[in-house]
Amino acid sequence: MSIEIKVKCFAHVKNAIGKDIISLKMKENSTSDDVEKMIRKMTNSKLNNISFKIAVNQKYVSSNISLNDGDEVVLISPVQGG
Amino acid sequence: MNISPKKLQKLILENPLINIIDLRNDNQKKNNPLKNLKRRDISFEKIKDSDLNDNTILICQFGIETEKFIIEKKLSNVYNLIGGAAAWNYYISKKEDISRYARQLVLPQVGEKGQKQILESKVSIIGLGGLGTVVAQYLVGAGIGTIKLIDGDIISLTNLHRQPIYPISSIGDSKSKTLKKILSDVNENCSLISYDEYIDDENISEILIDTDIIVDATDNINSRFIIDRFCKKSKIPFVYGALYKFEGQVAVFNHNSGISYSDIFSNNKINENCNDIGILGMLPSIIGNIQSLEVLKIILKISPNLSEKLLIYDGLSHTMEKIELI
Repeated sequence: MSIEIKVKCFAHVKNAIGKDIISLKMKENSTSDDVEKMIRKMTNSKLNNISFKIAVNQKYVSSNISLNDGDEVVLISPVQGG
Repeated sequence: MNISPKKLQKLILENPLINIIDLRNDNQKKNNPLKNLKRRDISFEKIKDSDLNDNTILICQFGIETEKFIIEKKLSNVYNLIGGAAAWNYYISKKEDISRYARQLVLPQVGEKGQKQILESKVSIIGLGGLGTVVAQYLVGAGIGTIKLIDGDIISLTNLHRQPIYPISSIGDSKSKTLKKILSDVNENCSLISYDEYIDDENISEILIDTDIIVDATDNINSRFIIDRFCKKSKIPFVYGALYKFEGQVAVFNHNSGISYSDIFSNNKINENCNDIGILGMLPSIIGNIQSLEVLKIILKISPNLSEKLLIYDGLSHTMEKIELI
């Protein structure tokens, strides 16, 4: 069984992936940390210097949580322009 | 025609028998009785042409309905009191003319009480680039009592596409001093103090003393951590704004000792700012205006607001993502 996760891409993630939204097919019981690992793998070393916080379904998650089919994930990165 | 409370008082001194008519409903009159003003009470429904003569002054609660009435009836020699009864009463008690705020006074979330809170507020804006110049303009317009303008930078040619308030003749001049000079002519109610220096852990307590709200309009993460440490220690909210290409982020941190910037972001070693990655001039204006709005919402205790939330705006798709941070 697999689940499909929607990743909304902003800032550095969007820059590295080149898309606003991507869908990831993942194993059942995959977690929020697994999404981050997969995104880092997909973008080679482009995001190496950046640490992310993760939001699932518009809510910040402070620890690693299990994901369900259809969940929306955002990797939040700090931006600094002003 | 419009008349301010200050000019009306002068007119009354010149002509104590001037025809003044209060058109408010009974509830408005009961809750906000006009102070020190001889007038007749007539309703909008019952007023007749014979009640009006040259130089009649019409009063409603905020000067909106009477202005509309005068335009619709094409009354050429009748005056609308700008800001209405709210502005008149404020002028009588404080000798301060708030009629310029008539369009925000009429909002139930503002009113006379809210405008007083705005006029008594002290806001510090750190960083006077794309975000800070926009925030400063709209907070001065809104009537913030005291605004500290803080930046050690000077104006350069490549700033002007996103900081168009600075004239070309000001290139090489201090941002804080120039902005203070420009905005001093905008609103006499607002006291502006400029600091021609960057904040650091040593000077921040001295510069930001006596501040109710801090606006982070800086362009680097290190400054945000300095602001965050000070805000946590001093229990002051700060309205965060930051940009990345076509995107912007806004949040309110440390509000009522709530979630802080350092709870969400780590001190990443990202060496990039608007100079490196590019920015269109309109984006800081959009994000800066959202920051200004959040400042007023904190002052007026309006919710929902962006306390404990992170708003991400994408200017390409015009989509917004609002993330709950707790």
